[in-house]
Amino acid sequence: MSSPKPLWRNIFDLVEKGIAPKLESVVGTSEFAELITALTKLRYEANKRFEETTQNLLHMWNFPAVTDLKKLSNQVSSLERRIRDLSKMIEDLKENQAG
Amino acid sequence: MSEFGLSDTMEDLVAELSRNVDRARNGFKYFIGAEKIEVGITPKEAVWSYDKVQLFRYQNQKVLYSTPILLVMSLISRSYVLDLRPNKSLVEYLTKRGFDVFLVDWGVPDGFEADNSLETYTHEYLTLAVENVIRISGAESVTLYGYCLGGDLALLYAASHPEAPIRNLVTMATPVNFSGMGPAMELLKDDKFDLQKLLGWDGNVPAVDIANSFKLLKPTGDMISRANLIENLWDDEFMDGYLAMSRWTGEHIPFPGRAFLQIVDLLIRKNCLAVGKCELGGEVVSLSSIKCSLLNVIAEKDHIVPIECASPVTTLVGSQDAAELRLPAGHAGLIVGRQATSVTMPKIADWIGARSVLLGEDIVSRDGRTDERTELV
Repeated sequence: MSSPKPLWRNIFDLVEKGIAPKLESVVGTSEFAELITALTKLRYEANKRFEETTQNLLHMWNFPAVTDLKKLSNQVSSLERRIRDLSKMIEDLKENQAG
Repeated sequence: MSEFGLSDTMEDLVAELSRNVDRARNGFKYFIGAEKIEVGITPKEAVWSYDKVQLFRYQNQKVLYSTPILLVMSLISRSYVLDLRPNKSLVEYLTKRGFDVFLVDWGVPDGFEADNSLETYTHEYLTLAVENVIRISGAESVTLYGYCLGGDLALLYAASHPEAPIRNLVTMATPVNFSGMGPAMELLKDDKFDLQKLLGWDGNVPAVDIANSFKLLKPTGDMISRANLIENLWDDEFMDGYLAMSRWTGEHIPFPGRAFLQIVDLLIRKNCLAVGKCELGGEVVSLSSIKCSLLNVIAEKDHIVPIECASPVTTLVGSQDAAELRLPAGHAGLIVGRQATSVTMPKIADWIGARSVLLGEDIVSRDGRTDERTELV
């Protein structure tokens, strides 16, 4: 037999049932969507500014910044993709020649 | 019971004391993070890989059906949820029922995958995965089984490859009508919302943003989860399940950027699956070109993919044999819930089994031995 719910849990459930629908309706409003849009923009701009500032500081001392590493990483990814595509082309050519 | 009910009181007291000891022990373990739960428990081997994609085959000495099952996972979460814990595993259940189970795991994307389009998954990876399942198993056709967004990938693959060797298609908690899917989707529908700003430095949508978008669907979800934990802290079995699920929900993976932009444009803004025309791989694809047997599994309490978003599948496909199975569970509850192994999985396995090719009257094991079929049935 399962034991009855403790008192604190009954109180919690009561409070949760009261606030959950309100919170869910708030996150569904256009105002909330606008807030999220604004916050996304703000975060994007803040990150950009921070990276620019740290990049300038580090470059002054000839140190690589995170942005340089990101660029390098993206270039490596791009190269990896090109190698994969070229390998595929070679395989296809070999298959065509064999066929 | 004694005359004054004293022994009952003592028993209750001892039981409560014992629970408090368990609470303290589990609470301490949880607090210090010592409870590293093991997930993905069914033995498997990687039988093929390409880029970061891996095809796993689960060990099964007693395969009953020659039609293998290929599980297709979503792009935003880890595949081990399909094999979470002993007795809470879809993979474990299907292998016990005699199916040869494969799983295609997309891996954790980084900058390399940022340029992957939807076609990379539907026209390239899935095509290769199905070809390899056929090659390795020696079967003529497969049962494709997609969970959540994996179901959409399976549907798009099947629709754009009518010649593909798909015997059956199972979609589970799969959205096809993207209207009414909650605030995060509504936000993405807004043309004013600059999707590029959602992409991280590597060109993918960061995992943390994906996790947060799920939290928006049920703002009090975390609170309820913590309350459940405190209430059941004494219960070792609950703790195992809680820790495994917490691990899964906390381990989202980045969404490959280009595929994300394409999904927002096609599936969310144009609602192309529901409308019936998706521009994919340079051609217009419609779910009506799917003719194989199809089972659409819907979770009635799903707050991520509500019923109205998942239910149109059976009417959109062109299959003569299209069935819908509604179960009283949540999105993840379908595979890890209390009734998963007793209600959900048996019904799905029965449906697949009835439409799969049986390996004769005897069980044929991979090492060539034969056993009596009655051992499993």
